[in-house]
Amino acid sequence: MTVTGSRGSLPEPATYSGRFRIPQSVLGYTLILLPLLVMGTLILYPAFLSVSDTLTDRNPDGSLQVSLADYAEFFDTPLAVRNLAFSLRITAITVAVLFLLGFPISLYLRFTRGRLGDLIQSLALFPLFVPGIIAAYALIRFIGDNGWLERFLVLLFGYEGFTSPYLRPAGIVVGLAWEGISITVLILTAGLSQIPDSLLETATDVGANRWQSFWRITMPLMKRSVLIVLTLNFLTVFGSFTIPYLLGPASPEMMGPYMRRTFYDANLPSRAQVQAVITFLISGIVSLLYVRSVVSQKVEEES
Amino acid sequence: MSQKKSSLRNALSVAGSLLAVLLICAACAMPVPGQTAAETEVSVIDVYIGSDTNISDWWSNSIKPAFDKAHPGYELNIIHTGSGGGGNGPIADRAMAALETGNDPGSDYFETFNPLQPIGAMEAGLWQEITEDNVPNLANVIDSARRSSNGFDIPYRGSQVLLAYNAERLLQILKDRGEVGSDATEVPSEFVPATWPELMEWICAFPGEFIYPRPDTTGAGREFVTRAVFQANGLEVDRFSVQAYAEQYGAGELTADQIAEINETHFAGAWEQLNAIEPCLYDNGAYPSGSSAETRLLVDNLTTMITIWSDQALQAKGLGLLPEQTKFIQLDDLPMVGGYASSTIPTNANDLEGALLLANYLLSAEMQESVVREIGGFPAISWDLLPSELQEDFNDVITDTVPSFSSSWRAAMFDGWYTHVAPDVERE
Repeated sequence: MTVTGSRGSLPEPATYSGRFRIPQSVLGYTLILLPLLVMGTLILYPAFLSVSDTLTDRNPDGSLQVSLADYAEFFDTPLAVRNLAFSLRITAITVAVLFLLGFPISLYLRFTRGRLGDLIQSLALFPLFVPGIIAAYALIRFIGDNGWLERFLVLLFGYEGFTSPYLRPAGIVVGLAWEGISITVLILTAGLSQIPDSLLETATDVGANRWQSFWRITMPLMKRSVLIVLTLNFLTVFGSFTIPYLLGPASPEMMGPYMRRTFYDANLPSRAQVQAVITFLISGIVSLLYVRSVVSQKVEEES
Repeated sequence: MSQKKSSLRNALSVAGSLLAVLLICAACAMPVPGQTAAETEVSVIDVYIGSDTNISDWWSNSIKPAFDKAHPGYELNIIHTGSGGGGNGPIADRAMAALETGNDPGSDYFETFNPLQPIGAMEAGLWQEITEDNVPNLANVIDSARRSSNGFDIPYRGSQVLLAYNAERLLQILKDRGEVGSDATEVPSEFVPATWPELMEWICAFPGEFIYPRPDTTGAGREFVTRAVFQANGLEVDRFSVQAYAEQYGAGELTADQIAEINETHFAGAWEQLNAIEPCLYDNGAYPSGSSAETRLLVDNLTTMITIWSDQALQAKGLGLLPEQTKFIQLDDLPMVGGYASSTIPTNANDLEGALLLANYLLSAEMQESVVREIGGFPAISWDLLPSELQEDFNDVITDTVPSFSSSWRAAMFDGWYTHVAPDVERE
C-alpha cells in the first residue's frame, strides 16, 4: 500500500553513513511485516476458518460439501431477522443523529475563536476519555426513571410526562450518540480546517452571502469528510456491544449482544458464527466505501 | 536507479525482513531470564474467576492468604475475568486449544465452570475427573451439591435466589389503597407471597411493583426462570439432571429441531406463566441486564420486589446498600432454585497436584465456614461438620434443599426465554 509509493520515489535520507547502511525498503518491509503477520494469524486466518465453516456441511460419511443451509436457517428464524433489521435501523438513526449533532458543532468550532470555542471543543472531546461501561452506568442514573434528567424536568419546568429511554431502543441511540460525538466532531473539524480562509474570503469578495459560500464552497469540499464520518460511525455503532447490552431492551437486540448471547449463553457457536459473518459482510460493504474515499483522496493528492 | 540495482534491493529487502522475523520469533521462544531454579521453588497456581466481584474479592482477601500460609510451596494467582462477556469461557477455549497442541494452557483452576464446555471438552479429556482419591474431602460433600456435578467438577459453595421486598413501600401502597388502616406498622402476612402461585397472583395484584432481570445476565434472573420451569413440570426436580439432558440431547450443539422440541416438551408451560405476568411487571416488562441494574430499581424506590442472590443480599444489607425495611422471602412450596458453584481443573494444568490440593482445601471445614461467614453462601459439606453457632447465626437463609438445575439445560432455557418471552414486550 503505502510502501509501494515510498520505494524509489523518496530520496535516501542523508543521516545514513558508512558502508553498512540498511536499504530503506528493507526497513519498510520489516516494519509492516509484523503487523501483517499478526493480522494474518490472529484475524484473517481465523476469520477465513469461520467463514468456510458456515459455508460447509459435513456429510454422514465425513466428507464436506458446500451448503448455504446455515444462512437459510438464519433468515428462516424470525427473531434473527428481527434483530438484524433492528440493528440496521438503530445504526441508521444513530449515524444520522451523530451527524446532525456533530456538524453544527464542528462548523461553530471552525469559524469561531475564543474561550467559549475552546470550552465547547473540550466538552465535545470528553466522551473519548470515558470508558463505555462507565458511561453506560452514568447514563442509567441520568436518563433512567427517577434519574437526574427526570428530576430536573420536574423541578425546573414542572414537566411530569417524562418516559425514560432506558431499556428502550431510544436508550441505545442516546448512549451511542454520547459515545460517538467526539470522533464525529474530530473528523469534521479536521475536514473543515482544510478549507482555506482565502477561498471563503474570495467568495465573499465577489458578492456571495454566507449561505451561498456554505452551500457552494464548504459543502462540496466537505463531501469526503462527511462520507468518512458516516462510514466510521456506521462501523462502530453496528458492531457495538456495551451500550446496547446495558441500555437497550431485552428484545429486539442489536447484533453485538445477540452474538455474544448465542455464543456463550445459548451455547450455539455455529449459529453465532453465521451471525458474525453476516455482520461482517454488512460492515465489509460499508468499509469498502470508506477505503475507496480514502484512496481516492490519496490518488488526488499525489497527482 | 537502474533496473538491476532495484531488483537486487528487492531481494535484499525480502531476505532482510525474513531475518528480522526469525530473530523476533527466536526471541519469543527463549526462556525469560531470571526464572532460575531458586525462584521456581514456589509454584504459582493460576486461578480464573468468572463470577461477580464479591467472589473475586473474597478469593483475593481471604482464600489466597489462608491457602498461601497453609501451603508454603504454593502461591495463588487470582485473575478476575468478570461475570459478563464470557467470563472464563475464552480461558477454557485456550486451555482446550493448548491440550490439542501440547502447549501451556496458562490456567490451573477455574473457580466456576461448566465441565461440559467448551463443546468437545469431555471427549478430549480436558477436565480432571474428581474422586475421593485425588480430593479426599469430596467424601464430605452432601448429595444435593453432588447432584449438579458430573464428576469432573468440584461443587464448593452454594447460594440461593431469594425475593427481596421493600416493606415500607408495600405498606404505603396498602395504606393508599385502604387495604390496611393508616396506623398499621407492619405488612399483614396475607400480602406477602409464600408460594409460587401466590407470587404469580401478587405480581398482578401489584402491577409494576415486581421485576426480574434477563436470565442470562445474572443468576437472579436465571433462577427465577428456572423456578417457573420447575413449576410447569410439576416440581419434578430430577427431570433436569445432567444425565437426563445427555441421554436426550447428547453433548453437541443443538439442531433447530432439538431446540424446538426442548421448548415444546419442557419449557412451554414456563413461557406461558412468564408471558402471563409480563404486562404486570415493572414498566411493562423492562428487563434489566445484570444484578446491579436490577438492584438499583429496588434501591431507587422504583419497585417493591425483586429477585436477588442470598449472598449478595446479605452482603448488601450488611453494608446498608438496600432500603432499611428490606425483607427477604423464600418460597415454601419449593425453595427458589439455587445452585452450587463448581470448580474445574484442566488435566493439562501446569501444576495439577497443586490445583487438586486447592480443591481439597476449599472443601475443608475452615474454608466452608468462610463460605457462610464471608459471602453469605451455603456450604457444600454438611452443616454438622461446621461449628453449631454458625447454624444459629444464619438461620434465615438455611434451607434443607437447594434444588439444582444442571447447566446443560440452562443454555436451551436462555435461548427459549429470548425467543418466547422477551419479544412480546412492546417497548418503543
